[in-house]
Amino acid sequence: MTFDQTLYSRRQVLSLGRKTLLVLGIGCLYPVSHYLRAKENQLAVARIASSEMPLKIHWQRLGQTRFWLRQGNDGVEAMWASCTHLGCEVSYDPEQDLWLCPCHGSRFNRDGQPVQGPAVSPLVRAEVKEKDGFLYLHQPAV
Amino acid sequence: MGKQGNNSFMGHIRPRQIRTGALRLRATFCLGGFSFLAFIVLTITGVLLLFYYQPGDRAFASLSELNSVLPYGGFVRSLHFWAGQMMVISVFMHMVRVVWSRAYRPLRELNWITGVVLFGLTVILDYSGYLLRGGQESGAAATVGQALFTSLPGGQALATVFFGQPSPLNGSTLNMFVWHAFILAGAVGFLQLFHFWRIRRGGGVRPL
Amino acid sequence: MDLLEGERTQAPAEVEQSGRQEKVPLIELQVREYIGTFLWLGFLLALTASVKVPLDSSPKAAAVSISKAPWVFGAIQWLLQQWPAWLSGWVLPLLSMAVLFTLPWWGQKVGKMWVWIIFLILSLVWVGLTFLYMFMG
Repeated sequence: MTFDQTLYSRRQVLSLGRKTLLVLGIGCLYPVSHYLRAKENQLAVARIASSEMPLKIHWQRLGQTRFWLRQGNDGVEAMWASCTHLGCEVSYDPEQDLWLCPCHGSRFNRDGQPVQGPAVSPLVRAEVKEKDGFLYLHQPAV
Repeated sequence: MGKQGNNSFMGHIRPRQIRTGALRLRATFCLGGFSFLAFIVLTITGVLLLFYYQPGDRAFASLSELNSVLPYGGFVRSLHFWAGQMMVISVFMHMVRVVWSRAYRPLRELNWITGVVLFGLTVILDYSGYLLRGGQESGAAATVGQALFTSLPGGQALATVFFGQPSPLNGSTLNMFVWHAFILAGAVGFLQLFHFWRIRRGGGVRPL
Repeated sequence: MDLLEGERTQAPAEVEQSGRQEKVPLIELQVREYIGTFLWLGFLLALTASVKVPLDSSPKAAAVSISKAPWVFGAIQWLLQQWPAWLSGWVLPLLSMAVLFTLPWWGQKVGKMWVWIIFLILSLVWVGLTFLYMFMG
C-alpha cells in the first residue's frame, strides 16, 4: 500500500513537471513570436539631399529603391512604385507616359490612376518631408 | 511501473526498470543530463539567433542590433552564451565523475572515447562561438588560432578551411559560421544520441 | 563488437547474483530528472538575468589592446606565453587528449587507482592553468 502511495505521488510530480514544461513552452511563444516578427513593420525610408538629384517634371527613380520622384506643382512628389494588384514593382515609361507592371500587365497613367489591367486602385504616393536640406521619403503604410 | 511510460516513445528508448543505485545523486550528479539540457537550450536559442545573425563583416553590427533593438534579443543571446559556458563546465565535470566511478572500463570504452570526442568538440564549439561575436577580441582569438594552424606543415590549407579569411579585428567568417552552427553542432548532436544509445546497451548507470 | 556481444550475454547472470541490483520503476528516475531540470533551468535563467553579456569592441572602433583570451583557451594561452607554439599549442593539448583517449587501456595496464591519479593530475593542471590565466594581471 505504501509503495502504491509513493508511486502515486511520484506520478503527480511527473505530471506536474510535464505540465510546467508545457506551460513554459507555450509561455515562450509570445516572446519568441515578438522576437521573430521584430522587423515585420519596418517600412522603407530613404534620404536624399535636395541638391543631389535634379528633379524633372517626369518621374525619376531614386537609386535602387522603389521611390520615384518628380517636381510637381506644389513641390516634390514621390511615388511608391508597387503595383496595387499584387505588389510587383512598376516602372514609369516616359515614351508611353504610363506606369507599367511587369507581372500582370496593369497600366497606370502618370498620376497613378489605373487605366488598364487587373489593378483597380491607384498607385500609392510616398510621404515626402523636407528637412535640413534633405528629402526624407517614407514608404506608405498600406 | 507506469503504464503511460511504457506506451510512450520514452518507454521504448529507456528501460522500464533501473537499478536502485543509479537513483542516488552520488551516482551521476546529473552532470550528463545537465550537459544534454544545455545542448537543448543551445539548439533552441541558436536557431533563434540564426534568424538575425549575419556572419562576416556584418557580424558585430547584426549582434549589436539584436542585443539592443530586437525584443528579447539580448535575452536570447545571453541565454546562448551562458548555456554554452555551462555546457563546457558540466561536460568536464561529467568526465571527472565518469573516471571517479570507473565507468570508462571495458564494455564501456567505446562510450568513453565518444565522450572524450564530445568534450573536445564542446570546447571547440565554445571557441568558434566566441569568434562569431565579431568584435576585436574575436579577431585576436582568430589570429592566435590561425597562427597555431599555420605553424604546422600544410596548416595553411587547414586554417583556410576552418577560419576562412578573418581580419585581425573581426573573427567572424562564413566558414567559422558553417562549422559552428552546422557541422560541429550537428556532430555533437549526433554523437550524443550515439552516447545515450551506448549507455542503454551497456546496461545503464552502474553505481560504484 | 562480437566480443562485446559475448560478454553481454553473460552479464545478466552476474547481475542476478549480486544482491545490490534491486530494481525500481523508471518513474523514480524520471521524477528526479524533472526536479533536476527545473533546478538547472532556474539557475541558468538567474545567471542570464543577473550577469549581462557585453558586446565586444566594435571592429570599426579604434584598435584596443587585447589582453584576455576566452576562458576555455586560457590554459593554452598561458602555455603559449611560456613555450614555443608547437609545444604549447599542439603537443601538450594533443598529448593530454591522447592520455584521455587511452584511459581504458591504462586502466588495465596500471590499475584503477593510478588512472584516477593520472587523470586527477592532468585535470588539475589544466584547470589550474585556466584559473591562473583568468586571474593573472
